[in-house]
Amino acid sequence: MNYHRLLALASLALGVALAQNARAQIPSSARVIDERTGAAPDLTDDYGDYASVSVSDPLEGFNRVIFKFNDVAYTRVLRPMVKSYERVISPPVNQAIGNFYDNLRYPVRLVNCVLQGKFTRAGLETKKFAVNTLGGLGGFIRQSDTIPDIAKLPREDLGQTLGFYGVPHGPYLIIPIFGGFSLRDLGGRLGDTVVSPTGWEYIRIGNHKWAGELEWEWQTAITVTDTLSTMPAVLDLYIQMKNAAIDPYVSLRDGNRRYRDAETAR
Amino acid sequence: MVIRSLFQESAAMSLARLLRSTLTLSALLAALASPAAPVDEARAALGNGIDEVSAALRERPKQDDLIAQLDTLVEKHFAFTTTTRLAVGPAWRDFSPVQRKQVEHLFSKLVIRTYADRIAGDTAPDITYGAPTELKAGRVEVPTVIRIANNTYSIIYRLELDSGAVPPRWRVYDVVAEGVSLIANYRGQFEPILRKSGAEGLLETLSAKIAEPSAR
Repeated sequence: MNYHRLLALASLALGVALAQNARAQIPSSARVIDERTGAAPDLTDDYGDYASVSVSDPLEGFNRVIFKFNDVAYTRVLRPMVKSYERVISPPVNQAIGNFYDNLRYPVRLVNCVLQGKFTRAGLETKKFAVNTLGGLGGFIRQSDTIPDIAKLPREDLGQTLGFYGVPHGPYLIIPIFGGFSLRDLGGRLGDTVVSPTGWEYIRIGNHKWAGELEWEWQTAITVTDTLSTMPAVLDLYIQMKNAAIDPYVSLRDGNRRYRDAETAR
Repeated sequence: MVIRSLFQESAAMSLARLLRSTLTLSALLAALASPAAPVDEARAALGNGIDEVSAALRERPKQDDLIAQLDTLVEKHFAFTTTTRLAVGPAWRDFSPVQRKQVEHLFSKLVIRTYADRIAGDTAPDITYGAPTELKAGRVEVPTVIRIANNTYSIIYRLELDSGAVPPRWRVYDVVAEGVSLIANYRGQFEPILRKSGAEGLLETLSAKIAEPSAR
C-alpha cells in the first residue's frame, strides 16, 4: 500500500507526453550539452544533486526470494482476483468502499498527529472525520474534498511518528504478500492496528462489541473488502513500476524509502 | 429588503470588478517594466507543455500523426539528455559520445514505453501549480498537486533552461512524484550495473529490458 501514491509517477508530464510507443529520439539538446561539456568548464558537475539513498538491506538475498514469490502471487493470483472483483464492483462503488475504510482509520491518523504534537492537524482530522461521517453517509462519500483546508491532509501513521522522533529505519524486509517495509515501518504498521477499527483484534461495531466476540465471518469480510478496495490501484502501480524498472527490486526498495521519508517530513 | 440587498450586492460586485481590473492593470504594467523572473518563465513553460500535450492527446489523432506530433512535443518540452546524464551519474564522464547517445536513446525509449499506456486518459488533468523555486542558475522546480480520479498526488517538476536554443526555452528534466525522483530512482538501479560491468553492461541491460514485453 506504501506505493499507492507513487502511482502518480509522471503520469501527467512525462507520462502524458510520452505516447504510444513513440519512436525514441535524441533531442537536439544532445548537441548543446555535448558542446557545452566539450568546450566550457564542467557545467555538468551536478551529480551530487542526486545523492543515492542508502537503504540498509543485509537480508537482500532472502528478500529477493520473497520478492520473486510475491511477484508471482501478485501477477498470477491477486491480479486475476482483482480483475473479477472489478467486474462485479464498479469503480465508483469501489471508491466509496475505499473512502469508507479510509474514514474508519481516522483514529490512527488522530493518535499519530497528537503523538507528534501536530495539534492543529489533529483538529483538522477530526473535522474531516465529522464532515465525511455526518455529511458523507457514514464515510462513503468524501465530502471533505470540497473543503479546502481538509481536502488534502497528509497521512500520519506510527512509522512516521517513530521517524519523527529519530528512530532509524533499520533493515529492509520483504514480507510475503504484504511487500517491503523498513523494520521501523513494519513495527509502526503493527502498532497502528491497535487503534485502527479495521484492525483484526480490536474491531468494535455497534454494541461495544469487541472483535474477540465478533464472528470470524465478519472479521474476514471486513479485512478482505478493505484490502480488495485498495488492491486495483496498488497492483496497477506495481505492474507499472515493474515495467519501468531495470531492477524492480531496487526500484521499489529505494522508491519506498524516498516516499516514506517524504511522507514523514510533511 | 430584497431589492436593497441586491443593490448592495451589485455595488459590492462592481467595486470588486474595479479593484480587479486595477490589479490586473498594475500587474500588466509590472510585467512590462521588468522582465519575467526565471521561476515564472519556467512555471509558464511547464503549464504550456502540459496543456499542449494533453490537448494533443485529447484530439485523438491517428496513431502515426500522434507519434509525429509527440516527437516534436517531447523534444520541445523534455530535456532527455540531462535526465539520462543525471540518471547515469558521474560514470557519464567515462561514456564515449556514441555510448552517450545510445544510452539516451534506449533510456528514453524505456521511459516512453512505460508511461505510454498510462496516458490514454480522456479527462483533462486537474493541476494546481504551487510557487516555483530556483534550485540554482538555470534550474527551477515547480510543485504541483494533481487530481486524478478522486486521488490527489504531489508532483514536483524540475526544469532547466536550454540557453543553446533560440529563443532559450525551459524544459522538464526530472519529475518527483510523492518524493520519488525519476532520475534518482534510475540512478539507484544503474549504479550496481555500472560498477559491475560499465557502460557496455548498462547498454546491454537496457536493450534487454526494452526487448522484453511489458507486463499487463
